[in-house]
Amino acid sequence: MRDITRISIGLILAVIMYTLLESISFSTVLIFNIFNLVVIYFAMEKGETSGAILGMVCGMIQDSFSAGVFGVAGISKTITGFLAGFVAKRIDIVLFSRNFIFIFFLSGMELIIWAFFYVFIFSERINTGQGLIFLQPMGTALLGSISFKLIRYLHELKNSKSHEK
Amino acid sequence: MFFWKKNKPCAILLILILSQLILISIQVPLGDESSFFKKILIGIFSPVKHGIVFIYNGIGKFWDNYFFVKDSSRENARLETEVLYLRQENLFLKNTIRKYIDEKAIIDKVRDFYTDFLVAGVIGIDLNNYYKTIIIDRGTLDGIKKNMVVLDRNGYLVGRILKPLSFKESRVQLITDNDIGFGVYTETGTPFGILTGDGEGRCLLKYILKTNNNVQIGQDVLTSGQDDVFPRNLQVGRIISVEEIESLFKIVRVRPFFQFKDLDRLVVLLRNMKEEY
Repeated sequence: MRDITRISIGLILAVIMYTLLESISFSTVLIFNIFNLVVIYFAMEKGETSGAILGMVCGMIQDSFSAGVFGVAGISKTITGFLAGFVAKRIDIVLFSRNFIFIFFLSGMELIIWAFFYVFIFSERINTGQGLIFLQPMGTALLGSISFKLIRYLHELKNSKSHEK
Repeated sequence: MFFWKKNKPCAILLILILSQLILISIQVPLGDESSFFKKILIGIFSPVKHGIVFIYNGIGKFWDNYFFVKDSSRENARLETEVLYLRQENLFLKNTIRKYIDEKAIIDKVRDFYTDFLVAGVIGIDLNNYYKTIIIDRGTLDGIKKNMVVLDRNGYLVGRILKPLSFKESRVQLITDNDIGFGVYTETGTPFGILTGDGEGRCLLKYILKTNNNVQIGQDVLTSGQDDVFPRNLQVGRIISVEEIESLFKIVRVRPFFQFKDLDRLVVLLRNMKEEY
């Protein structure tokens, strides 16, 4: 139950962040893929099955904000969530630099899968936002590794305080 | 059973991917029509988005009103001067029109004018189609209908209503969409051509013959009103390049006047104002 609450909060935060970024500037949504971060974070914690299911949910939410066919982002995020959980079980990616590279590769892969399905289904070129979309793996990795570090720091702080008590 | 236990994560992944592929294949024949499932999700997240945008705008206004006031007196002076000029212009235009129609007709026309447009805010872009469509915070409850004309705050053409999505949301097809097509002419009066988007933030003026030398860089492009969607004389954009290739037609690129960064406030014309424009 606690996990479902945490995941729901994560999803709500992602929707809020996505809408806020959109309100600030349309370009920021192309650079930072917030839903990817939610998927990767919980996949790292809960494993590949939870990652895949959450990937599907996040992808569908993202698709509901766009005009295109429902499920394109869902498939790419399902695979991303699965791989994130699978790799995180086997390799230690807690370190900031490793975390950055991990998110960078996953975001890049997600972008490629999404672009492949988009081109396949719509039979047209993807809109790169004058090249901004290519910054997405870098932007997402930077934001993700900083956010995850911050979350871990807050966790440790909370744990040390409860130990002191 | 043993296979399922051993490969459970992979099997779940396959089921999820397959179910989404089925979902996609159901939707593709629907075209522009949203599926029932998508409508439900839009219904759920639409109020959330409206709320967040409302709070964000509220904070922005609060900041502008109480903290960011150092330029307000200068801005006020500038606006007062602008209003003065606009009043003079308004008076001049009214007097000019009076020569052709009586004053009561003018007053009636002007009064109607204010009820004929609706101010809308942008609450979403389409991440899949960055230069194709945007979503505005007005829907069927506000009287929005398909093909209504959308302008930016400066009166430049932005696009048309593709369809209302819900009571309070509608999708706008931008003039930079490569699926749009409408009649235009250049400021010199000729030639009439078809303008379409290039899907990358600019437009293309199509079917301009190689032999036609009237099209030049720097000319303004206006709607011709021949398509029964856009009224005549709306400002669209400016020609930025004219290329000749091994084809019957020239490649004429047009930069739209509207700016993506200015799309926070839009105007929807609630009726086809052909006579006014």
